[in-house]
Amino acid sequence: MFFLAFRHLVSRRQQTLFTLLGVALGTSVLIAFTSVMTGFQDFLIDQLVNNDAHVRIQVDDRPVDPTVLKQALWSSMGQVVWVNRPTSALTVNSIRNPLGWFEVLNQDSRVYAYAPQLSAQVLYSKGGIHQGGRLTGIKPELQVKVTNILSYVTQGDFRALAHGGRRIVIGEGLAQRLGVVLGDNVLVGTGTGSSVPMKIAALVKTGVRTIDDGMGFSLLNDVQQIAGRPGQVTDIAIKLFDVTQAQDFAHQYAALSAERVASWDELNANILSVFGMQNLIRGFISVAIMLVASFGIYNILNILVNQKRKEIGILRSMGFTAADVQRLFLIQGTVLGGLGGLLGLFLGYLMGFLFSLIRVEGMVTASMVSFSAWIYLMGFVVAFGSALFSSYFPARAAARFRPIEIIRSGE
Amino acid sequence: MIEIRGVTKSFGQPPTTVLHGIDAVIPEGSFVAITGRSGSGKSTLLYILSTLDQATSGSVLLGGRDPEKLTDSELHDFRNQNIGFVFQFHFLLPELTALENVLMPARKHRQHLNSQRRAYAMSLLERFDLKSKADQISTSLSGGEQQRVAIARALVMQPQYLFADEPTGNLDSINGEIVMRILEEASRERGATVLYVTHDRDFAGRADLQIQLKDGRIDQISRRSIDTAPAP
Repeated sequence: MFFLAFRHLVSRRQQTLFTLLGVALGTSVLIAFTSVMTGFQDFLIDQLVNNDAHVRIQVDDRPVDPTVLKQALWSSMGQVVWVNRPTSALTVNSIRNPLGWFEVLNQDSRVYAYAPQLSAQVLYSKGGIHQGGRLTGIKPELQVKVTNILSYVTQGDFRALAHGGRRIVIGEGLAQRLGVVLGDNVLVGTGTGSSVPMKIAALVKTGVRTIDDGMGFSLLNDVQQIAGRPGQVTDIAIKLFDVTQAQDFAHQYAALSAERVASWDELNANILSVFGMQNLIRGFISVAIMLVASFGIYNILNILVNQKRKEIGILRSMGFTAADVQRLFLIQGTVLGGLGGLLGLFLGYLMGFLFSLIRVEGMVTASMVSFSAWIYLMGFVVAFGSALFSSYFPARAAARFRPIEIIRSGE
Repeated sequence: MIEIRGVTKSFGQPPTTVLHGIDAVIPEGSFVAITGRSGSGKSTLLYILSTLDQATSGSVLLGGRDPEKLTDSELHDFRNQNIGFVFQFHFLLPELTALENVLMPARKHRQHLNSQRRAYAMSLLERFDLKSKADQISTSLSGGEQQRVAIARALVMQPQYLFADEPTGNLDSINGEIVMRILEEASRERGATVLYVTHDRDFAGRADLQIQLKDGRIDQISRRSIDTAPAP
């Protein structure tokens, strides 16, 4: 039946070509669209996973629920009237036993590295210019193990923080706002005490404006001193050997501690939920694109089946079975889907490649287009599957023709 | 031998009976004409005998085998290996050349690759004066040529039974004569049992056996002595 199916396709060159192009275009748009969407998501997830810790231990600032408190303390009383309603403000705003955590983390074989941090709201000043922001106290040798901060250094030496002498690393945006350059001093203060001059050891640019315009890093001891919180840490950033264990790891320690222990995906749940919505929309668009291509195949085969009634009748009279006739049309559908799909893979790759050449200010476009093999496999499977599905019904109709009826009608 | 036992055929609802208990025995290798007026049931009987249609009641035995007792797959194989058809309209596959059309039944079991089968197909085309047109697309052939290709196709599997439904109905007298001679050859030289439906008295007169139908019943069966049959 391959032979006859092939002849059917070749004898209708124009129809075949347009149907092939329909499938190819549908597949290529599907692939290009998925490549860009997936590339963008992969890029962001890569940023989320690799730029920051896999798991973060933080001070738990969950709001206190008055009804839970009432139930726990005065469950027998009918009504409790609050003089001051309970709030989420904690008297302790740092991790209670950081040394205990360090001990536990040192013994956990899943932990690649961890880095204690103290984060504080500060005011950066230079001359008469003031800029609010955050200052994170770190241990540089540990920080570079748990985050990708080194890859964002544009000027200076991040590791120079470890040399002491009140050094600071700030975002390029913050430097521009303050009008400072590498090697300059900025004043850093919490607003409650006097400001401390710090020398700029390096500048970083992450591409995230909220970080670049207000973030600074300095030695943990220096920040503890500036913030008046000696010995305190607000976060412990943890990098695991295997990022896929992050959620289990976080859940295990969260159940045992008073601190909030959250994995990277829990910390970025809002972003990931947007990805979910994007994927849903992508799914709908993919279905719509392939439906259009499938209708092309369905339509062409349906017309063909009706045009070929007498040939179907004669084939049956020669001893070809209903299944043979069904195969004849299924082959044509799948050849259209297969060849159209292959052409679509090539066009889709080309479109993805062209997208990757487009430069948008502030974005690393090339790395945002995914050329992952599964996208191409999915594109081909969808094209082939749609073709098979859409050719099934005309093929089944052809198989159901009774040869005697066709021959009798003398069509 | 073809044994026809009480074959009745009805169509529609309420049923209209077009064949009423046909009984006949057709010896192996016979050249048989089925005649009768339009609507007498000639084609219906031919289609039942050729396994394309089924009798409402009664049975047909082809070489002692009852096609109705075969499975669907066995029936299709039986048809492919033992039965050839020629229709009033040639029903060639327009995408294929003359030779490809002839070899089409052989494709069912990939016998088209068999060199003997191909040689036989070519010999049929040569015999039918179509050798030079073997590689031409079938639609480029004349009506008579197309019908001869259709007969070659019906014969390519060397079937025991050849059924032809008004094979000359669409042809001029010259081409009609050529086609009839080919059918006679199939019977007399190749030993196939050939049954053909015709309205043409001359063509009917060349048969060994004439089955004349009238209103769905056998009106007359006339046999002709082999001695008086015209030379092929």
